[in-house]
Amino acid sequence: MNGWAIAKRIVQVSGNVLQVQQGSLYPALHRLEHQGWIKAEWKDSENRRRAKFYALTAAGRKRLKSEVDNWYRLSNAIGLVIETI
Amino acid sequence: MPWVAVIRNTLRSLFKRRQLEVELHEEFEYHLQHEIEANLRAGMPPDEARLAALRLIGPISLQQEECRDSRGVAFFETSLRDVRYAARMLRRTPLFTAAAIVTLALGIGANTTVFTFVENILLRRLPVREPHRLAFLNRDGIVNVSYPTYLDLRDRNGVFSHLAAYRFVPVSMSVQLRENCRVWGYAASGNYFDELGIQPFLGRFFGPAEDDQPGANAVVVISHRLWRDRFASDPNVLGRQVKLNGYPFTVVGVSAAGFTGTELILSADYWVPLSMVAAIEPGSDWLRSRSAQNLWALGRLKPGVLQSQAEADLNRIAQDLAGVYPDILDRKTRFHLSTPGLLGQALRGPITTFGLVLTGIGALVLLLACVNLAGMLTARSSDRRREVGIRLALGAGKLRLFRQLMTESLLLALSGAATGFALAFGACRIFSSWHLALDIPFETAIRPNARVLCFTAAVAFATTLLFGLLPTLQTLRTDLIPSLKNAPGTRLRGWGVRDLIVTGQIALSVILVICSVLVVRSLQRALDVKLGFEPAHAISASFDLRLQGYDSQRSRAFDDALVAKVSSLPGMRAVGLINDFPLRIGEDSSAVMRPDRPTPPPSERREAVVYKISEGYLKAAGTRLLRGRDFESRDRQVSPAPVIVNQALTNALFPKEDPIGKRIRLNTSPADPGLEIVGITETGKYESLGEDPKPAIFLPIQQNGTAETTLVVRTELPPVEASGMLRKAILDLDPDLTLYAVGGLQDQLSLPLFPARAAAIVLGIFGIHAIVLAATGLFALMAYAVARRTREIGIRMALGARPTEVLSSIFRRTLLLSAVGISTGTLAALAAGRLLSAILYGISPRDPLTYATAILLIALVALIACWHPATRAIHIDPVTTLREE
Repeated sequence: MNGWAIAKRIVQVSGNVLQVQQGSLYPALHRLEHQGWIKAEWKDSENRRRAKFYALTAAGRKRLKSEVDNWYRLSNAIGLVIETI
Repeated sequence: MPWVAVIRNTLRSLFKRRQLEVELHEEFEYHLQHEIEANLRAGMPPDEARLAALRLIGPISLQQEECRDSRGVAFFETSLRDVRYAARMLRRTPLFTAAAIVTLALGIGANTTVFTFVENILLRRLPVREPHRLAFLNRDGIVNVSYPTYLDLRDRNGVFSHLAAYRFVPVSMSVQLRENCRVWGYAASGNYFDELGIQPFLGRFFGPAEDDQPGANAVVVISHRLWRDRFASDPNVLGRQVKLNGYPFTVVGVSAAGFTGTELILSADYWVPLSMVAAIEPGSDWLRSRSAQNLWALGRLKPGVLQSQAEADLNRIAQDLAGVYPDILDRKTRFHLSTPGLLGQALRGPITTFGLVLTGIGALVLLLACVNLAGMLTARSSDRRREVGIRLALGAGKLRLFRQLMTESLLLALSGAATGFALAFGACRIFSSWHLALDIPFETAIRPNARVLCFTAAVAFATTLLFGLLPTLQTLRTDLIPSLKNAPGTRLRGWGVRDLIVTGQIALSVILVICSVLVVRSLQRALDVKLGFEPAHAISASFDLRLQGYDSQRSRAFDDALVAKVSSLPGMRAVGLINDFPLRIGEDSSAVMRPDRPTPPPSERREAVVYKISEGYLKAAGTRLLRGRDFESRDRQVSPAPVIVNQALTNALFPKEDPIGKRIRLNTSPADPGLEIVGITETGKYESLGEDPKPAIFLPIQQNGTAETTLVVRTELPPVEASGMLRKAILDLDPDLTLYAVGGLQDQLSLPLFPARAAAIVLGIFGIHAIVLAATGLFALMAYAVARRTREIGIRMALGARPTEVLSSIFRRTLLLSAVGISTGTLAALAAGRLLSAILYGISPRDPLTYATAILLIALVALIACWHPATRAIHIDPVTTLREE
């Protein structure tokens, strides 16, 4: 997926809740790329223009899974704590 | 983190910057175009579509900058930019830059040279297996043990896995048809190589089995250097015969190139088993003698044994031995262990002190250089206030500016360090090529290595902080408004950073000059010291008759013939022989007692240096006879044998008595008739120039056989010509003799004078360096201070101040700073003098004349440095200065 598509997707999936300056996405993508969690490739996009496409690497996929697990554990815990109030 | 990817990405960001830059723009451009197209499709007019897209994306340049930072090489890129900027700034002031680099190069070069010396001589370990477990035996400041004592120590101790003994011996080596050459090497015990755990380059080393029968195994291991130079790197050298002092030995091995024995400054060229000493020192029977203490002992501690435990064990054995041999050891005898390589504590102690003094003074010189630079940079930083002010006003971060300014200092320091390292390299080359006119293979080669390079780099960073930090912080402490207006700082009076720097500079210079003058004057004293002989116009030549198989009768005849022949040569005013000339290495000594008094215990006996001389020697050497007479030819058969003693011995044994006609003896046997004193000479220097007056006795050479003989003549002929005549006279009598140490006595004094000379040269250079630094630094700071006050002085003059008043206001300040600096420096030098006293000879570390000279010198330098700027100040035309600003 290229940067523009990722930005659009975030807005869409979050139901317009997560609205940030779209440009701020790129430093984050570049950092992830530098650290080897995602990889990038230049390919022709649907409108025949060259674009940079990002994809998770194997290491990135593993890291994502552990981070997501972590997130669920944490948010569940927080949820439980909130419920008792 | 997947490190492979990170490293690949880092490398890519480093080397494909341009491509990444293009891609970065392309990526943002793609996003923008896509967004604009989407907006257009939604029906917006083109202008608004573009603006909305830009709004949505946010500040593009900022985000791109963040992308660049995320590449992980931001630090590197910023540094590169800073270095480029710094280089540009330094190029703009070439004079300042050159001065700074030269100042630093001299300071860092001096320190690198000193560190090379320390690293090569003091910190280097022997090239053997586990060198930290080796320990050298010292006994009450003496380094020698006798062979029987060594055997006792070796067999009875429970703390060493090996205990080896060795002795440094010169031999005359002949390799088949080649000319004889004199080489030095070790006679070593059989376990020597096992203890070291090293491998030979060729063949094998000898082992304990080859050392158990005296005279049975004539094997020799030669050094790599000897193999290369004397055997032309012959690969079939093993099994070849060489003659050592005329006795045939078989070469069994060649040592590895880096191994030249277990003493770092004495390089050995051969090794033979100790059991063979009778072959190379004919007639010697010291292997059986408990009183002939002439071996060095080196032990390898068993794993886990502490040095203190080993010393306790050795002392236990010494106590036992003292009970059995009260004549040799006494109960007060204490062994202690030291790091091997420098003849135990005997040499390591003084060399360590010397190294410490050099390091200390080198550090002071560098500190002075740093203070100097800090001064220059402070002056410069005031000039750059405007620039820094503008940049701060434009929103530059202080940390960022700090980093940039420090990069400039670092660049200076690194350039200085590189130049300094090159200088040190040259200095070490010169030092290493300094061949002493000596018979002994005295190793002076020192060379910088990787450790030295690390040291230089560390020094460079340290100096950066020292000279760069203060000026940089001062620059950054800029008030925006006045700096932009280029107004002078508000503080015209009171103590600023610059004043502290000037004071520090003066104080450091005072310390350095005092130390240098002290050492140089000490050398003068050492050169003036009473040697006990007159080196000018004396020529000597040494040879060893036993090496050619002479027995005592033949050698006596040879000596007589030689003296007669040389005496008949034209221009020889006096001719004499001595067994071993004073101030070379390896004096014989013996306990001296009075037969008419009870025998004192070993630790309370008087030791005297023993020389064997012929009649005429005292005159040839220029030793003054104070009372009594010289030997005469009739002394040869007289009993009791005559002896000549020096004043020191007289003072020790015969205070308030007339010693002429009295007797002394050299052993404890009551049957010995003793020696009758016939003459008293002045006290000279025998083992080292710095020694206290030492008792010495002279025996007639004709009654006492001697191995080595030195012919001494007194002549007005030039040394080269006279040496040639001596050489010819000796070789006419026996063409096969190997001669050594032929030449004027003055040249041969280079070894005893070496430490003092080296110290004087190094400290002399440091001292001059300090004065130059102080003068240039003071001059620059004074000139700058006056320049900054131009406006003030202009106003004063305009208001009617007289030139003398302006002058006195400038001078008053200088005088105050100088006085504070000089007194601080003097106090510090008094404290530092204690360390220096170890290498000073014949001069007190508080010598008032030295202090007066140094203080006057620095005061003078300060005055001169101030004179030019001050006179310029009073010629200031008020109108011009006021218009200027």
